[in-house]
Amino acid sequence: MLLLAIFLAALVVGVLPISGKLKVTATSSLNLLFSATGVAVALVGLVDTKQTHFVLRLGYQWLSLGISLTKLGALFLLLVSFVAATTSIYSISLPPTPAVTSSSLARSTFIFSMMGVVSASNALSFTFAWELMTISSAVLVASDVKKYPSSRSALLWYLTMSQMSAISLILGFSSISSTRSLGSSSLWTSFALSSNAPKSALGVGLLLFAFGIKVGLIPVHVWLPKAHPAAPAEISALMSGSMVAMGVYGMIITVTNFGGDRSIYWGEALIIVGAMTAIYSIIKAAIEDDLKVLLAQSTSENMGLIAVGVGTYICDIRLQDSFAANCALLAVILLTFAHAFFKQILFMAAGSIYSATKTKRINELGGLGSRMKFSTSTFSLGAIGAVGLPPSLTFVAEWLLLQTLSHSTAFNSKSSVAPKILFPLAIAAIALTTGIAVVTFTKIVGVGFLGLPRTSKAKSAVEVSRSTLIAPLVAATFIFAPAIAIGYVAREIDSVLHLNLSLSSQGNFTLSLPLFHASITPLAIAAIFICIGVVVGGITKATGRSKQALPAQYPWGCGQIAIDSTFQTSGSGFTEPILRIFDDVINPGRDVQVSHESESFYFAQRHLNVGSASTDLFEIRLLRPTISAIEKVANRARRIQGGSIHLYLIYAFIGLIVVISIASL
Amino acid sequence: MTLKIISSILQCVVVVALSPLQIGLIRATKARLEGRSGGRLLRPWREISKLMRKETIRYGVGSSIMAAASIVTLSSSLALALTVPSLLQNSIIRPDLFVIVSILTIGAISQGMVGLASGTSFGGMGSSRHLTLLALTEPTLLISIYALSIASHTTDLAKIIQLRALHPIEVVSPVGILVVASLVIAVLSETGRLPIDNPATHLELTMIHEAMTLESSGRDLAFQELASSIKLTVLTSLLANLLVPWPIEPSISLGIAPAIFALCLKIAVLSIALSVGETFLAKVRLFRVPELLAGSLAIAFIAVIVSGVTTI
Repeated sequence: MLLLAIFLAALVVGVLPISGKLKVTATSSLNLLFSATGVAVALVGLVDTKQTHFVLRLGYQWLSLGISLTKLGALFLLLVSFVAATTSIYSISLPPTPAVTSSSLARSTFIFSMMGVVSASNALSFTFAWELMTISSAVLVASDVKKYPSSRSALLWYLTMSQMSAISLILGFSSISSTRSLGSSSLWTSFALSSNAPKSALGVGLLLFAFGIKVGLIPVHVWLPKAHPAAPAEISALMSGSMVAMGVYGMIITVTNFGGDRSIYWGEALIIVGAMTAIYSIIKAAIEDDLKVLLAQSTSENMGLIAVGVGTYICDIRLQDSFAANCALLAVILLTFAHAFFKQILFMAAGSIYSATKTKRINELGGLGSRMKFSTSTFSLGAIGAVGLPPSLTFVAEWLLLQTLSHSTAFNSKSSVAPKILFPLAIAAIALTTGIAVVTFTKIVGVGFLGLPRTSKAKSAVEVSRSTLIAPLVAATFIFAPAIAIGYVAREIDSVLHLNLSLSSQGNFTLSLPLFHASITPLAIAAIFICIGVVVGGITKATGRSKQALPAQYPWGCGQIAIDSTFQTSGSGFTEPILRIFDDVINPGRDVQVSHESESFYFAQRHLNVGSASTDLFEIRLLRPTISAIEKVANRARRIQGGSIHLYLIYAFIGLIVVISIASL
Repeated sequence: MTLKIISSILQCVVVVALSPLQIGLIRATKARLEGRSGGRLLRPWREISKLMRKETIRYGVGSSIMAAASIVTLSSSLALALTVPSLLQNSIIRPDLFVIVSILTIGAISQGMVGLASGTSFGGMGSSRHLTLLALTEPTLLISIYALSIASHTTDLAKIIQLRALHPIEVVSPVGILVVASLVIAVLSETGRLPIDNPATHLELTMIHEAMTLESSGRDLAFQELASSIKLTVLTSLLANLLVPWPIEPSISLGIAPAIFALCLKIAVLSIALSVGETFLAKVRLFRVPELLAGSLAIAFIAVIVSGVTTI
């Protein structure tokens, strides 16, 4: 109730015609208050044993909105509220722009709708909140349409895909529901009772498809790298951090609550699709030049890994290996949280870099490390999370997923052939994905922040104000803190969700899986590194006190050539080997323009223009043909409505005859 | 716990002491095979101590990164030496396969940062290639050891080696042979040996590891060289222990002396084999390396499937 009140207040402020700065501050503060309340409610919901359940009856029995907070919902509410809170802090600290002012209504609605999604307890309220989330985020994507003309086409893609998502969501819900209606006041659990196996399996598939669109799985991922970067930084953070988590939430409730043994058909498909998504998106991310598009691609990659986890859960349920299945579930939840934390840092840091340099291209950056120390360090912390190095939460989550994958087959002699082949393939895919993620994020950090500035924009960059750094720093602690205290965190999640992983005996810093004979202590890994670093550093200090490092005027560079920023490896150059190795997947287009001397064709002028364009394989080969086929059919269909009154009379006549003939049968 | 720490440190010290000697042995054997007189066995150690004594010159841009990244590179190699069971089974943290791969990754990233820090052309080129190869090698490394873990139900390297010591037939089983074949390629790529990278070359356009160290000098260079040689020793000893899983002691005892001797012998044999191989091999073109690594991944994958079919 309190949540609703604050939301309404934020809405009122959003609508009120007050001027720019004040309005932004007011809405953002209210959003902050709103999401802080959300965090509190989520924590209470996690601790509280009894569930409260509201039903809002709108007339008939089949038309009611159910609201209640399940434990899983509370967990995701925590995530949404946390991301919303940090992004609100970030947006308070930003100078107001017209785009921000005009979209403040949509911002509050967006946060509210995501909270609605996680607290919905029947299909109607879920669908309602889901659609509200789609619409409000679409408004946010379009809010900067003047500045980025590309967001118009992004919006179109986004809305189309969301339509598909909504259609399959509603179809999916209605085909697994026993009462054939979405709005019955029954809880999720009533879905599990229906027994019509093939149809409900199809329904589960449709639901997974709907959520797959939201998280950007292949081949319906096309909208994500277009729409996410089109919005302002904090909105991108909100979309990549928490909106995709809603898709994950949907997947989890689909497979746990009303999937049951009916979702069994989709496990292998999810693993394959997830692994393909992960590899494809990270390759695209590696060669991407636009920082925000790159981050969006990386979102898709992480969602691919999560889909692999969900698929593993389903397969393990079928193998009746509930321990491994619950491990997979825990891995999925940890990965979702880790992704939300590091992705919002990366997007916010990217926003700071954009506001300092006015460019999003990595090739135009360089040397920011010495000019924007704090932004660089926050970005690097986020990058550690993105790559999944210890001791980040991502590392623990990926470790858990890999352990699950490698032990599910080993344990179960009953396991069928498909997991025996698919699970190792998934491990290889995860390994390749993290490997290329290393290349990708080293590219950003190494090319963007180290070396010399490549353009005057990068040279004149100044650090953003301190207040902008608060939000990313808060989020950065949450990449590492839960990983350090992983024993505690995992035990809490275990007890809240009743995963039965028998984690109760372990310490607060160790995640040990007794059945897998595996345990991990991120703190120990960190401690080893710190100890060795201190020892080595100490020895260096002690022995080399007399010999300070000499500063050199020029780097050696194989011949002490005068330093020139264009000699450095560019971002595209850095990932050129990836481009070459995977050129069948990326399908790059190269364009070299040479302007020749007027005297002779054989001499080129000083400047060559080399461009490379990369297109999305799935967009070109699959979606565009589909769209044009639909257009063709639609054009045919248009002829039926010719506008002539005679035609319509004929239709009415034929219709009448058909009705009469059917009735007389 | 204290025992674990002491034994880990002991193992680390032995590995660190051996690693430049291994480089020396490889160089000496290669020189002998090629008809040169070559350097002494202790030469790499003396090079490192010479570098430690010389002044460190750093270009102003990225100088702090250069210093920090060199230390991190060395730390990751030392962490490897502490955890990977080369001499003793008990180490501070469990030698979990996935943890070890991530420690390797940390080293690779910091080495890559060294290449990019000062903004010169060759360093960036080296980093780019180094990390690309790392990305392509990771799947092979994971999958091949995963094939071994199916039989032993754990991804703990110490336990895998222990199991092989108990059941020697595992070593010559088809899975064992396939895994070793694919691991050899992965290790060669990970440590930058022929045919993937030529550690002796200083030809700008082809080198990988050497390109990243071009700007480093003095202490930084010493750290990086030591780090790469430790990595080589650790991975060779891992390979050797998978092939000949005896004698590895559970923790410090009197049996450690023969274990150290056996480790030296194993590493020496593998190094000589490596240098003989390197004498007859030429470096593969960079863009043919993925084919090689894909081949090794395929071998590892066959091993997984064979192992999955045979293990009940």
